[in-house]
Amino acid sequence: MNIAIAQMGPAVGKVEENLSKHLELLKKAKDMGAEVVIFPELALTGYELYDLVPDVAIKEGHPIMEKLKEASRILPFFTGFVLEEDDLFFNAAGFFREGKLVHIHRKVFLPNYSMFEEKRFFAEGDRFRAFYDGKLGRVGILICYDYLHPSSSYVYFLQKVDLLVVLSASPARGYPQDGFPSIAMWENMSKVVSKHFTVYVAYANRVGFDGGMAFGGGSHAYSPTGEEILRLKDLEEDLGIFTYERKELRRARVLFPALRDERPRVIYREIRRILNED
Amino acid sequence: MRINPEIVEKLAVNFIRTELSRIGMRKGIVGLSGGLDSTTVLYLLTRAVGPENAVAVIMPHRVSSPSSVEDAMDVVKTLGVKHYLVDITPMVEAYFEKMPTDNKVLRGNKMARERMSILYDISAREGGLVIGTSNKSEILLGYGTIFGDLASAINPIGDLYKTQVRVLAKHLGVPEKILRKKPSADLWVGQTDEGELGITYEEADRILYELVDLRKPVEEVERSYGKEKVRGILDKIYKNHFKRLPPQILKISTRTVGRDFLYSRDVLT
Repeated sequence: MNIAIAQMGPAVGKVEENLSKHLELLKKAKDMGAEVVIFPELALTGYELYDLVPDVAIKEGHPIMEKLKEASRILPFFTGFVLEEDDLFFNAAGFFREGKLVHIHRKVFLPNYSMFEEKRFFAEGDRFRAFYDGKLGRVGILICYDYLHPSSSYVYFLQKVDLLVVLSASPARGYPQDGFPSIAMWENMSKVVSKHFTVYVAYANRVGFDGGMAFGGGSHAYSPTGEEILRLKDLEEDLGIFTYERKELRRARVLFPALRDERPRVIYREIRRILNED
Repeated sequence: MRINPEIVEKLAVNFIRTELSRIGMRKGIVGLSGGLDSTTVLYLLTRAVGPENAVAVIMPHRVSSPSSVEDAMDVVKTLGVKHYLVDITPMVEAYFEKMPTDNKVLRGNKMARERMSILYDISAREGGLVIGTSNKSEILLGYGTIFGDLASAINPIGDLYKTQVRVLAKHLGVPEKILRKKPSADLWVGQTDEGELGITYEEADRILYELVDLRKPVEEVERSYGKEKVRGILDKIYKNHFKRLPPQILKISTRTVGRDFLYSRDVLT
């Protein structure tokens, strides 16, 4: 199974233009032999939306939503968009396949510090639900800051996911030495999560500039034994493919039976105790 | 506060290119003094858009040090960029004939705003953007003229301290004599930044870095550098904050520009 990561830079608020970019990259990835494509967080809308959030939101029946579904006839794909539901707006990611929106994840951890103001503009998601796909196995979707909380990956781990898909819009920051420290931070997380939860991790970060913020790129994939199997360029548009193999998952889990040895009931009891203490 | 100048160069070049093409322009305009910051920016601009689309504007006043113009002209020749040489003495002095003053700061501010006015005029003639040359040290200390040298469309070095700009400049191949020059706004004879600020950039940048970037507690920074110096810097930071913001607008409606009418600088471009 060949999975592509499309490290692109959407334009703020220009949904039609970003949609065309999706189509172009889906075709390009297909020509390269990809069978699934992963786009970054808010790839349909751009990141620094502020008051544009309601203007670019889509829901079932919206013409843009229909065009996205149609696009998945080229190749199945994951992408990020603003989802409108009951007049609430979510930073969301969807998996589209064969003309359908198969699964939606709403970002649970909205960053609201430093350059981030997501809680001001988005409603919070409240679930991490894995879904099953015939070709990809069990999949969990995370959006950017979700992934920096290891508890999110853990919840998917307990649902026996095979593939964690992370969509990200992470600005490059920190005075660069070998590279930007913010890019290394995501790699460190993927090294640990992939190996210790014995899953494939695919991390798709965007590039380009919003309001002077440069997004870092450095998208990557890690195998379930914790090996880097794809690393895209820092700070530039890029497109690359990694191979996802069922047998690698099995091999990793034979070598390191993390899931078998996990004791979620103990964890559950302890969390319940901690929460009941106040 | 070390930087990798190779990565910073690449990012800055990409930034200039992206922002220009977003607005549908090819050219960048830099006010070139012959000092470190403007020379560095002109080098970046030239790498981003090529010498044919980089425009340098040299704007001496009769009090400017003669070596400034010479150094600026050398840079223009080395890079092969288009340049304008506009002596601002007649317009500035025409004003002060009507409004005489000996106040050096008033005279300096007028000169800085005259230069801004010329830069924006030339940017419209050329169809380009004014590229800013203020560094992070100046911006934080408020060492600049509002609507003067602080005015620009985009600024590729505004998040780099003076000492970091020097590292970047060296990497870009900026001539040694410019690297070694004493930083100066060159608004009156004998003026130097460090003389006016009362502190060296080496030390000011360390203090700013610890306060602003590392967010160390003030008391801790004071223990390392002395209470007076740190207090002096904090005073400058807060006293000059207005220079970093658009004007304060009285809130009357529910959506006020700058407060709750929020869009990215890049919205729909």
